[in-house]
Amino acid sequence: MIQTIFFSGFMAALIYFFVLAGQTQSPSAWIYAVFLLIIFVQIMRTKQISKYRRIFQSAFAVFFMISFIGILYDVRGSMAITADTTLNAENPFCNIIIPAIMIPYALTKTIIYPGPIIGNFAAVIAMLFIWFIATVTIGKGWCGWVCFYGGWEDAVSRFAKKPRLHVLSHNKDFRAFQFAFLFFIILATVAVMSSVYCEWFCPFKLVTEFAPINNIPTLIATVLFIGLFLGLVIVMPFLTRKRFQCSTLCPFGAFQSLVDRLSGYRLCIDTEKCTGCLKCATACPFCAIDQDTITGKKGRPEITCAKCGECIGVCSSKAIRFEYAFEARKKKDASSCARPEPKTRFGRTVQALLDPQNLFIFSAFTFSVVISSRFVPDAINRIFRLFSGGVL
Amino acid sequence: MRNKTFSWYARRIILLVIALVGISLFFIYSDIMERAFQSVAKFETDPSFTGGRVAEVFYDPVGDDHGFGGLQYPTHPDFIPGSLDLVRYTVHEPVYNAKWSDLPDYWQLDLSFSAKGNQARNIRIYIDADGDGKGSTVPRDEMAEGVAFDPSAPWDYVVAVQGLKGSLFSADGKFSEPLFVVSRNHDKEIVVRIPLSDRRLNGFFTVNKTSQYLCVGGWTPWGRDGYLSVALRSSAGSGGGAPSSLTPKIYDYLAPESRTQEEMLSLWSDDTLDIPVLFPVIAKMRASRAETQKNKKADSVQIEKLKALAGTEAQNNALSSEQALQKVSAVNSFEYAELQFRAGKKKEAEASFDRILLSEPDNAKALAYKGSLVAMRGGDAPPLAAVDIIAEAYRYMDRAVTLAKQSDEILTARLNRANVSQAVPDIVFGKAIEGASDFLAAAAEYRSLDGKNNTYIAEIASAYLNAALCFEIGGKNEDAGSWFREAARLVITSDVSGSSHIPSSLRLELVKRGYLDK
Repeated sequence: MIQTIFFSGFMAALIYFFVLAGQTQSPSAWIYAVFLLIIFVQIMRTKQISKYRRIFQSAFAVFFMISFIGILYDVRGSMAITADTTLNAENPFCNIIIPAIMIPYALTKTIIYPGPIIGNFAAVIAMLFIWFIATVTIGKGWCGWVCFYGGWEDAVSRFAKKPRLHVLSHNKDFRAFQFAFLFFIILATVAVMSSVYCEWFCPFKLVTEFAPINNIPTLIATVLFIGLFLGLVIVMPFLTRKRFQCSTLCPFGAFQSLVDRLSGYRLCIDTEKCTGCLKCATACPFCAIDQDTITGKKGRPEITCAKCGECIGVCSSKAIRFEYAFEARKKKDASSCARPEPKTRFGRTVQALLDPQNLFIFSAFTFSVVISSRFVPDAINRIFRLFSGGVL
Repeated sequence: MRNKTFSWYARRIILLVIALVGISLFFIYSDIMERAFQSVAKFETDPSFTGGRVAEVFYDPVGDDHGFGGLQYPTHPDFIPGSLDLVRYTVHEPVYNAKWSDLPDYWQLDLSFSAKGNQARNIRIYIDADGDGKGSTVPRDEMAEGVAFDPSAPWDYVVAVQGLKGSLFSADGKFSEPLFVVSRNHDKEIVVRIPLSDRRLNGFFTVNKTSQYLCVGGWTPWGRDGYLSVALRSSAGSGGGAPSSLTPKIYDYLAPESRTQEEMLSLWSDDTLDIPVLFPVIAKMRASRAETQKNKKADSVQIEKLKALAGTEAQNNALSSEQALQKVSAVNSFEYAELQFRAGKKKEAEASFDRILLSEPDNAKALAYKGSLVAMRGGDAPPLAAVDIIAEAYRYMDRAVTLAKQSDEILTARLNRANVSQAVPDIVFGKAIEGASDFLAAAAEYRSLDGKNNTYIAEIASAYLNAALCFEIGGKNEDAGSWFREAARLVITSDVSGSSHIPSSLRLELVKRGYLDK
């Protein structure tokens, strides 16, 4: 109880600062602020982390699309990338290609993307800073909590109550494929000195911006974008209840898995409590737990874990929990992720406040609030405008 | 054991603080951190997206949009003063296999003007691409511009741009290709991309330099090759100030360093029916690997001398402000407050302006001074508090700029805000470019007051210099170069005419950067 009040109070202040400050007259800002606070309080109070996280992330994905496309129409009159925006380096920079631009930057000292470097909407340095601070705090938790693309799969994967296609035995293959794809994207980008992923493989072009179809290669690329979106973001998540694009084809996700070591939090499986039921492995949307993880008593999910909390919710023996990264590294014996109970009430309060799960959730939700604060109220405004006879 | 317990708590409390306030503080101050990072890292976008590496930049004097020296704009409102005034011409390296572009191979040329007005411009760039002595020495339409070209550099291709439509034509008339033309910077800049995919244009990839004749005229659909005619008097459909039917219809011409536009364009003869012959600029097609240091290092003795002179001038100004302050007795008057401000009595001046604002809250000049004084307070405050204080200062100064209507109000409001924008650290506030715009707006106001009398030449030069310094701080070196050159040109004009006293501090800055000879 005490930690719910404590963290919710701080979160309310943050929500006020990032969503409401300067916009207290805006009903859409109020609606969104209340929504965020309810989601956070529910996560803290009920401990149903994944359920409420998913509601937020799915809503963010849809509202992000509405706002982003609306902004593009305001600025350039279409979703298409125009010659003007490329010439003036005004295309919004996307975090997904961060791993691909690093080697070309080292070789040419230039950013091989026609986006604003600084001081603009989704500028390169702003995205690099957000990526850096996210990496050293929540690590791959970005994918599980904040990513405005992943929310699509998160929503679609819940349309069916049970998976129509069981892919548990292929989890390892999916992980291997994702890293191979990251390697391919990096090599291909270096070979042609252009962001190959954006040009050929990004399924989210359909919900953001795309190159106009004016020749055969752009036609092929568009067919690929549509195919990948339908296949990996709609059909496969629906059939498998996994975040399929995130688990197989997202280079940023693979890269975040590699740099997640720098983050402050890990998920930990108490092998003494674990009954080996594999519910967590079936539920994990990122294919980060498989049979070997459990039978091999590794004591932690595989490196593609996005800390979404799905496994915590389904584990009936309460064997999975968040742990500080420095603690998790220190303890070779996996079973020791169980913590001693404090003897006094004060001790229990302190432990509750310093519980890594609470701190991780607070950190991850702070990112969610800040990143979404510009888009969601704007999208709500646009929807209001549409219903009152205006345009989106 | 105690150490272990301390370390146990310390690590957790650090993560607690990061979670509760660290991440949000990062986002609150991310703008400042990003600018600071960029000032060190200097990231740039791959130039193949944005036009290719800059091969050469040419600067043309501001305010020389008068052709041979006397041409006037038509009276039609499309012809905004300055819309035909070319100030900078940038030649990029040709780009091969560009990504994200409909033109994979192209050559980009950027033209910057004093004022917006695409619809008014008719631009021709005659290019001698190969230096083989073959081509044409007369314009595409012989009667259009009313000029001829240097016989030693006949043109092979011409870039013709009207508004945002452009074409490339060859001299023999056998080749034409539409160009990609866009405007930017509020229509003050035109970007022309010449597609080079046609094998006949592949030569542009191999040549090291081209000779170019860049002519800017007014546009009309009824003129010869789209050129607006010129007559003795201006009308809606023609320019004025042309004493002869042979007067070239070119308002601005990019002259090579050895000649002036006026001297070339005025060489027509009604008796012999001679028309002016223009000489080209030589444009490099490749940026030199070791960029030559354009700025000549001025003699250190001269710099020291100018420094001493500037110091004495500043001291004299402060003394005269102090003396004037003692003479003025009218307490609460605006003049008194202004003198307190100039004499550096910050607290007293702020109290005086507060009193004035109490009775006249919309007094633009008082708001501007108040803003400056608040900003000065910010300069003495601790860094985090300073951010809020400077933001408060801008609220006063922005309001002053909005309310300013009369010339003296505009000048006070713009110059106060410009000085603050120049003084506050750009990596924190990012105001340098805004400061440059304010200095240029103040210069424009001085120019409108000045007419052709050169009364405010020192003030205009100073505003140009400060605009250039702001652009330099903001990393816009090409723009800075334009305005340093303009300031230097005005100093030289002033020296020649002896019309005004140019402060030594102004000379010092220009000499230090090599824009002014000793």
